[in-house]
Amino acid sequence: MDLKIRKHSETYIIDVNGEMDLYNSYKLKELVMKMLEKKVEQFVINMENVDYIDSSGIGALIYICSTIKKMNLKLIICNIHGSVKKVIELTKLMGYFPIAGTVDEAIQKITTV
Amino acid sequence: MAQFFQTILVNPLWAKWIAVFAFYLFTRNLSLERSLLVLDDFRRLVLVLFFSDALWAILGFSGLLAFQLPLMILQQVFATGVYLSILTRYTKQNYLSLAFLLVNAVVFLAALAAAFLSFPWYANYLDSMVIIFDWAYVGYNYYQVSQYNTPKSGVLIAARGTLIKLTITIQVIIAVLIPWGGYQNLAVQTLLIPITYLVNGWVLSFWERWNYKKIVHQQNVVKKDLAAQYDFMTKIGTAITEKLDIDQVLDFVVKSAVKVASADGGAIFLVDEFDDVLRVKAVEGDFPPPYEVPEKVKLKIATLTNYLTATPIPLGKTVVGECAASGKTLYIRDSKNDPRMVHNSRLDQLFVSSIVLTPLMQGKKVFGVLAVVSKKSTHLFTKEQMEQIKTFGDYTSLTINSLYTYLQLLEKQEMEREVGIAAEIQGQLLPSHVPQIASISLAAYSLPAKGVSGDYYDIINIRKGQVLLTVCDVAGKGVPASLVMVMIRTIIHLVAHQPTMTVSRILDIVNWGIAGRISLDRFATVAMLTYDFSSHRLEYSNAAHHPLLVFRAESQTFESFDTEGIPIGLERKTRYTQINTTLNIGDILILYTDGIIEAMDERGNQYTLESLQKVIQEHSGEPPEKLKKLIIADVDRFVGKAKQHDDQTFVLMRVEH
Amino acid sequence: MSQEPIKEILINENHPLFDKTGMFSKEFPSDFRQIRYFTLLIVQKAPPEIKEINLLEQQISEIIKNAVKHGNRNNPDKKIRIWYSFSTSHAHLIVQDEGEGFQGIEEWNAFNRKRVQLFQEQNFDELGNFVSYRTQRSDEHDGGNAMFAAIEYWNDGVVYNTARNAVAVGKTFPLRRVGVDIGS
Repeated sequence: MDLKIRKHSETYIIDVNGEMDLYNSYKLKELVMKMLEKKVEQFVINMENVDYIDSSGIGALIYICSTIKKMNLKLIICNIHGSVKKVIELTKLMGYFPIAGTVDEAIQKITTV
Repeated sequence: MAQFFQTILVNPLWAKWIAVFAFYLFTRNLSLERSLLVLDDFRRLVLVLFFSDALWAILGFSGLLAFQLPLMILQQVFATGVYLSILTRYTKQNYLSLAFLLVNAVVFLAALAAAFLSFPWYANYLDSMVIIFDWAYVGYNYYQVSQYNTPKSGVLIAARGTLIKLTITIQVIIAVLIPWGGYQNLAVQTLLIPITYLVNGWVLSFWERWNYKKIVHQQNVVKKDLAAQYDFMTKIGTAITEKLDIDQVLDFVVKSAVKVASADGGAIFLVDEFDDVLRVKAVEGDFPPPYEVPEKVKLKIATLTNYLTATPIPLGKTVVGECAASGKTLYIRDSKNDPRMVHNSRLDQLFVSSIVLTPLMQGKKVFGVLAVVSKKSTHLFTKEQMEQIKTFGDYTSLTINSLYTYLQLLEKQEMEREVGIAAEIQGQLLPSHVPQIASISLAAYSLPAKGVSGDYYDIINIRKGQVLLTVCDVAGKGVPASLVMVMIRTIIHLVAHQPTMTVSRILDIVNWGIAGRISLDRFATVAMLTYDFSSHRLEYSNAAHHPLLVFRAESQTFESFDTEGIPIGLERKTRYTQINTTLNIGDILILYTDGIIEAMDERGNQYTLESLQKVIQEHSGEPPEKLKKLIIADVDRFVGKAKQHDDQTFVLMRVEH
Repeated sequence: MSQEPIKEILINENHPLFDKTGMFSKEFPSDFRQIRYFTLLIVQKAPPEIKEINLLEQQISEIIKNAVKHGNRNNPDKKIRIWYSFSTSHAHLIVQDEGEGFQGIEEWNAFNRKRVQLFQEQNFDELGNFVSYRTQRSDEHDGGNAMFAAIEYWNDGVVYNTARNAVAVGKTFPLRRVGVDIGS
């Protein structure tokens, strides 16, 4: 799995590529923690190229989500599809995660609310 | 003589008969193709008029003038009877009530009596009274007909006014003229009575014109229909060839359906692939959900549409489910008072005044429903529009069915193509023949379980006097696994020839080359050995594969060699180790994959390593080619009729010199 | 919309899911690094017609991970044994480890019950406290949510044996079809 960051005005978009499994999900967690230290306040996690996620990956997302929520910052997860979406549905977390359809929608949601 | 002719020529009967004849000609010209069912009734009327007039003439000539009256009464009774039977055709009720028959019978008998006895003064009045009574009776029943209680009553309602009023007026005039002779009056006989006959002809022609107009209207509708349908079919055909998208086709269908029926909204529902529910797949215009909707959803149109799209309808529930469950078109022309329509009050925001639902089917399977709605109580769908929607539904069913079949075939083809590609790649990988090398003899066998093998083996002359054997079992299937195999083979071939290369080092490099790639089925177990002909030295390394089995000719026993290590592709930095030994003449070694050891018989028992060892031990004198055949035969014998569930591969080597 | 009954992990050695007739079996060392490899070896046997085979693979890997990590504490000398069988309509798996067993099954069931109730009430604020089930042995890499998905996914049941060190799971795949017969 590899992670790329890009910026859209004040919003940082993390493009995740590959599989988020028990061996590499910690990388996303570490990256977000680092970005929080650097005072980033608006996060979009783009899951467009993620075809596989397991409980560790979801755990990482939960951790990121609750940390950001506690700090009153903003996070949107977008482009979840296929089995990734299915797993999140099975775990009943669809209402818990802040979700948008596309990166553009996510950016819009973050900047308007 | 002259008087005889005069009587005949001046006879008012002519007028009557001309009228009857004209009437007859008219009925004759109407062909059955115009399907005028009442024609039979009018033909009967012609006959009644003709024969009764003939009788009347005979009576007249015979001087039995008095009997002409009861005959007239009879004629009128039959005439009104014909009109009553016409009415019965529409209302299916019997009008020959007791009262009617009784009155007419009494008057007829009275008239008959009057004929036998002297002709009393009331006789003529009797006739007129009963005729007016009969026509009033007919008129009364005709006026009972309304569009609500009688189907197809349009023509009756349109005709009755003129018919009743005209006939009664004429009869009243005749009655009034009684003091001037009544029926014996020449004017009455020449003019008024023939006119009553012509009135019948006029009524018939009215029927005929009405029917004709209806047919022409239908033809026009059908023509417009056909044009619209042809247009529809061409568009659908084009849409499909441009893009195989069922959603687009459905969108087009619902748009066309709404347009053709002048509907306010339309929707297409499809049966879910797994659950017994219908889901909205296409919507056009304003299509209110045919079930109760929570108040806060009704507030915004966007939320209403979302609600409609998100809510599945169980089969059999609501009019939509009913249509799907029955497989029949459901046409509710007027939702008022229909309990199936949930929103049938005009005050309801989700009001639907009229709805047509037609199923999308193939044979006996229903896979969807097409529905159009009208929200205006002034515009209710006509039967023609319903038929059109039905035709749309039929054509859409055919189209979508072909589409589904085509898509399924494509999917299957894709799968088969992938297997074909993978098999082709594989064909390139495996050695085409076992090389002939001086001091050893070799045999190799590989049989895939299903089309594409996850096994790879290779025999390489790495340098003068050294050979490399390897067997590899890739986890995963299809093209991705084949690509991994290509990578493994390429790397091995690239590095194996280098002078300082050892088997463990080759495995390190192969592993390093494969691991870390994203989203590939990249794991494999590998067993690899090199053998030097002059020193007889064997070096063996494996990555989580089965141990190397060596049969020692001298001791006639087996030795196995194994090294520690996880499969390749898991961790980049894995280091593999190797183990060495020396071979002697006659020693046999075998590298194999799971498929041999775990081959199962019908009861689930596995072949096991022991069985393999047994075959080798018992036939250790045989050359590898023969041994290979013996092993295969033994495995086949064991497996019997059970299906092969895993790829089977092995490589045999025997030291000859 | 009527609420579905809340599913529970069962403890019943005699449950039909523990019937091993006709199943393949494989044994593996409890090597954490090879969890996905073992999963792949097992899923290879599943027919390719199964929809969402990705999801099946992921669900199987979670069970194997539990056995390797929590059951056998990642000790490669301890083994896990897996029985498995697949068809186009079913997936059946039994995973056994050499550990002391999943003691917290009842606690987990209670936790899950509360979680699902909060979800049905759409109470997302409170739900935040129930998204991860943790025990003393959970570490930072454990999501704590694997079983929540598992209890929904394995619709034939999630059953443990009496010793609680073997879990049997089963899934029936809904059969795909186009259209229904009239009158059904």
